[in-house]
Amino acid sequence: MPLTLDQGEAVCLIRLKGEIDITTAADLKNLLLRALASGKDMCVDLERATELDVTALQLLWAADREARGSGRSLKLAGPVPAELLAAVNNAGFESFPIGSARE
Amino acid sequence: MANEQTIDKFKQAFLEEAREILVELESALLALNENPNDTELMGRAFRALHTIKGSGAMFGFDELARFSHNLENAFDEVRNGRLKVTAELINLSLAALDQIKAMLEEASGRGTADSGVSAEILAKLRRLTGKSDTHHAATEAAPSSSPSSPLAASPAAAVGAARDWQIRFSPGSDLLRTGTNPLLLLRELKQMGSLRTKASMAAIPPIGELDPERCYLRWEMVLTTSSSREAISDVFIFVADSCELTIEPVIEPGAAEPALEMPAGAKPEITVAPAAADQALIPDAVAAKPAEKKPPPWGRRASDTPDNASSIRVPAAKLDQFVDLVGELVTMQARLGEIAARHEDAEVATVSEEIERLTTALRESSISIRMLPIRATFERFRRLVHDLARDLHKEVELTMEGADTELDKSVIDELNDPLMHLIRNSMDHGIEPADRRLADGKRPSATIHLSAQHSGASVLIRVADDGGGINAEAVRARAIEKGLAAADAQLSENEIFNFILAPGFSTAKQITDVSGRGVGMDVVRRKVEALRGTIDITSKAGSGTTVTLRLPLTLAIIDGLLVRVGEAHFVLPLATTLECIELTRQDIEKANGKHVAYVRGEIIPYIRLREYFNIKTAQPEREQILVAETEDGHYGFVVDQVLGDHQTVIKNLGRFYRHVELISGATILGNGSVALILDPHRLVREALRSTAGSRSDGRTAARSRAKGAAV
Repeated sequence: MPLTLDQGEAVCLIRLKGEIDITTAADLKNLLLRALASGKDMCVDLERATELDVTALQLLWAADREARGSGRSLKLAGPVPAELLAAVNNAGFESFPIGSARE
Repeated sequence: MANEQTIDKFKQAFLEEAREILVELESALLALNENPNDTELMGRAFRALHTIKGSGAMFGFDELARFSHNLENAFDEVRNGRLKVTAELINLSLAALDQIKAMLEEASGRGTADSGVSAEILAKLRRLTGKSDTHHAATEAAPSSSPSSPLAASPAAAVGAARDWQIRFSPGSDLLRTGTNPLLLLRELKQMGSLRTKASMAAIPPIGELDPERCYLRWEMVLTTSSSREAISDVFIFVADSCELTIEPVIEPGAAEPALEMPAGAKPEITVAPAAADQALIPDAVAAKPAEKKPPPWGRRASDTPDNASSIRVPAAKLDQFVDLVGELVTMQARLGEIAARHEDAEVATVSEEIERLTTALRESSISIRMLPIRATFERFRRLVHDLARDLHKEVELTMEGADTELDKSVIDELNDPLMHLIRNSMDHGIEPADRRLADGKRPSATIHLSAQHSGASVLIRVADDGGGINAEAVRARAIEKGLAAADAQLSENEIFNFILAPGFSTAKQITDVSGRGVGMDVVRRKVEALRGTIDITSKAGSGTTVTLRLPLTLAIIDGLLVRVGEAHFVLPLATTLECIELTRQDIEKANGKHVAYVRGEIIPYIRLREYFNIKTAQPEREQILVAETEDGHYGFVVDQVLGDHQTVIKNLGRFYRHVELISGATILGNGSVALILDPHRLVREALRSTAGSRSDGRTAARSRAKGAAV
């Protein structure tokens, strides 16, 4: 499974692997909704993701906005592969759609 | 997820269309070879490459996109007059085209493309264009020629000067579903120069309401590039009708009105908004309802193919199924007609007639759907001729006639191989080297003429060359040597030429790469026979050879004439039938027992089907002659009774009867019985052949032997 959700005690860990694109978009949305519904803080692990397309970026961005709106945090767990950063930059995002930069 | 499938479907559509584009590219390249200064053709080649690159990248065929990108750049140079069209460039481009083809085949799981070949082609291309790497050199150079250089702002700046463009791009809501990845478009823009991108997330709804497969992002970009507005809008070529896009030059104070320098051919899809003072991002209202119509699977601009704009793409298998069903319907209708006739009920008869009328119309339109002009098949051979001429060091020009002649798709599909073999044969054996031709007082450049023409229910396809012709004596000697003919046989020229069609027959002393193995003509014969066609070869020593293929228009349903002989029913194609006349006992006696009839002063030899098929029922007092037009002239077929016209659904007789040449199939009649479909040409041919020793000019010879001809 490219997408997994681990419910920890205080934190939800969302792991994304491989290509996260339109084929996984609906799954990613459900996963993020479940994580948001848990009421816990969230971490996204992108270490083994190879691609984030528009659908993934806008979902992560929306989830981030949602989390902040309800006073929780959505953070990156660990480093993000350089090519993903480049892709996000190419997509015209000033910063990564999730993470500390916007807090 | 269903999306995986959807995307696969788009990929499939892409592969299919890419093949078509390659055909277009090939014809453009070959035409360019003839007219190296035709800018229209340069544009065509460039656009084809651009399309392949762009859509290839969009569907994740990165290798393909990279490869075609380099080629595209070369043609951009050509288009801009910086690179000259040479034979070398054309040949290299053709090789590249083959490589693209191989990549496509690989992508659809057939065969593999050798990446070594790609590298080699690209290396040669670089040498030709004189650039280290056409693409990167250009991109890297652009930003360094500082965006604030005075030239940049000048609208009159020559091509090559970098300037700033403001681009706003709001994808339509369906963009992603059509398999387009907007990020790839941005990446492509980035390759044109230096790009600053700002995404707007304003339209993203709360995550709960968010449709995960819809693009909510909008982009605003400033691109500094030396490329033209046209080149920029070309990036969006596939999404133009499903997005909002504005491309405006960034105006610096004092610069002229931007509209003035809009290229004449600016795309109508691009709305060039007046230079708005506020640089705000596109309003975040759900303004993303740009175009009502849904873009095609992978959006081709409608303006590319105006005449195809309203056409749809249907898998051939569906069409076959449709025609099959119509065939069944026709058969059932015949049954209904039969029942109606038996019941003599006026009401039923009316309905039955009405249904007959409708099925006829339905049948005609279903067949016409499958009819395609043969042009695409013909055009394909330009490349073959070009390549072979180069390899064989011969000068050959391919001319065509009647390329718009329409044929059933299934026939066209099978024609490629036979025509290819015929052309190869002509090029290799038929056409002499230029010096030989000069010595013989001919033009050094030879001609191969492809033509297609309707003839009744058949199509005649000819491959004619003006080469040396077939050496009948050599063929004869070889036939005797191979035991195909007796050493003392009296053979007509026609019969001799027919030996060429025998398997493994070759007079070539040397087997070349191109032909000479004696396989080719056998393939031609088999294919043509499988199509229920015939082959006719004529040749004149010193002035060329013409091979004529006579093929049925369709393999599905024909208009036939139902006839009865004794208890047996036969169908003769209506298209070849000229008239029906009566044949009485007296007429037979008048002809002194010869099988000829006098029709308005003309002598018509005839074949009695009763005798031919050995039907042993009492001969009626009055019989009927169906006069048919055949390749060998007018011939009659004597039957007991002509029952009327019949919509004939052709059914194959199966493998066992494959060798029965006189019969082109069978059909099911209204009462459920089977009638054989006769082929008048073959019947006559066979009859002429069986009159042993007939020497050439069949008709007169056959006339005198008409009796014998009819068994």
